[in-house]
Amino acid sequence: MQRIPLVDTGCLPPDLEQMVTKWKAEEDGDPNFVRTLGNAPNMLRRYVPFYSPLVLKGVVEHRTKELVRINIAWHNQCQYCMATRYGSGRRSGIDEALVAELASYETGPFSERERAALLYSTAIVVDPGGVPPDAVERLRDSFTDAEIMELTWAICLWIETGRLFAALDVPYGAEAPSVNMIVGLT
Amino acid sequence: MTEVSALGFLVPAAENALTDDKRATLRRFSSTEAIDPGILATLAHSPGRLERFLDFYGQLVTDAFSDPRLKDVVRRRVSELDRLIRAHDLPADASELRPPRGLAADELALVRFIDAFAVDYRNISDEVFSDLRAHFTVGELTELLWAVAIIRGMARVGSVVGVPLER
Repeated sequence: MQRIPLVDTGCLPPDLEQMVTKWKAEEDGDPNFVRTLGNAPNMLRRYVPFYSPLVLKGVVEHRTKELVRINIAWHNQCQYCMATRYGSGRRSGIDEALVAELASYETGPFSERERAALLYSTAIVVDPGGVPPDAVERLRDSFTDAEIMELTWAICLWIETGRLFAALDVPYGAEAPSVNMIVGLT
Repeated sequence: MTEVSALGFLVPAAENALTDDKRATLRRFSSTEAIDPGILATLAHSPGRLERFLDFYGQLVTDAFSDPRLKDVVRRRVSELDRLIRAHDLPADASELRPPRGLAADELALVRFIDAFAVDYRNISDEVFSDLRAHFTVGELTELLWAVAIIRGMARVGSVVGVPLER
């Protein structure tokens, strides 16, 4: 059951409504991330300038980070995160056939750099304080310290915010009902 | 100055990557927040990233925790559970976690959520959420729960690089 009501897109402050429109146009992004956090607009306004460059820009190419994000979504079993896809991910060659290969990424059509990042992300999901030495070694063979730190932050935030979205049962899709259409949430 | 993390990553001291005003912000942050600055230092590899995080986190702890006791309760509880997680000692049932004594009702509602979230985030009871809604508005709850996730994220980064959440 949905735990936090979504803000109707038309009821968002104009800058956040514009954010949803831009997100949809550029990334084919789902609006419910903004519709959920739009309950706290000031917080969202400060979070996006930090989060968006971490995920969409940064020193690690988006394709690797997006593969890692989907891998974490699967481990977290966050329905919203698993359903989410980005236009920039598709443009970098991530289609549903490739996503299906993530279950066996060591033998799938991935680069060594992508495999090292996927192994690292899985290790952090399982035991963040106990990343195996071989996973660290493979990571350091493929990534600089700056890239590793970017990956580490993205991974840790995706794990925890993804789990929160799972706990809150945030639905996927623009048609998901808003606050006044859900009985018992307010 | 650099610090070497548990994984051997070279982590530049956060202050070296900051402009003067942000350096002052971090000093202020370090004096008012118990979060270990070693965690924030891991953001300093990329220009502007630490500053953008401080902008976000500063607002979050000011607005989401307009009452500072809630901030302390959340950070302390996440930190306590983080220590259990690092020791592989987190129980499988949230009811085995004893909340600290003397908490106010709203603090207790938050702690129960944090405990349930840590133990099994996919099976948090309706009662836990009802209790939260009895004390917080939807806007407050959104900020508080996001803060829990972000602080847990920081704790997880700390775990990876071998730095405790709290100084």
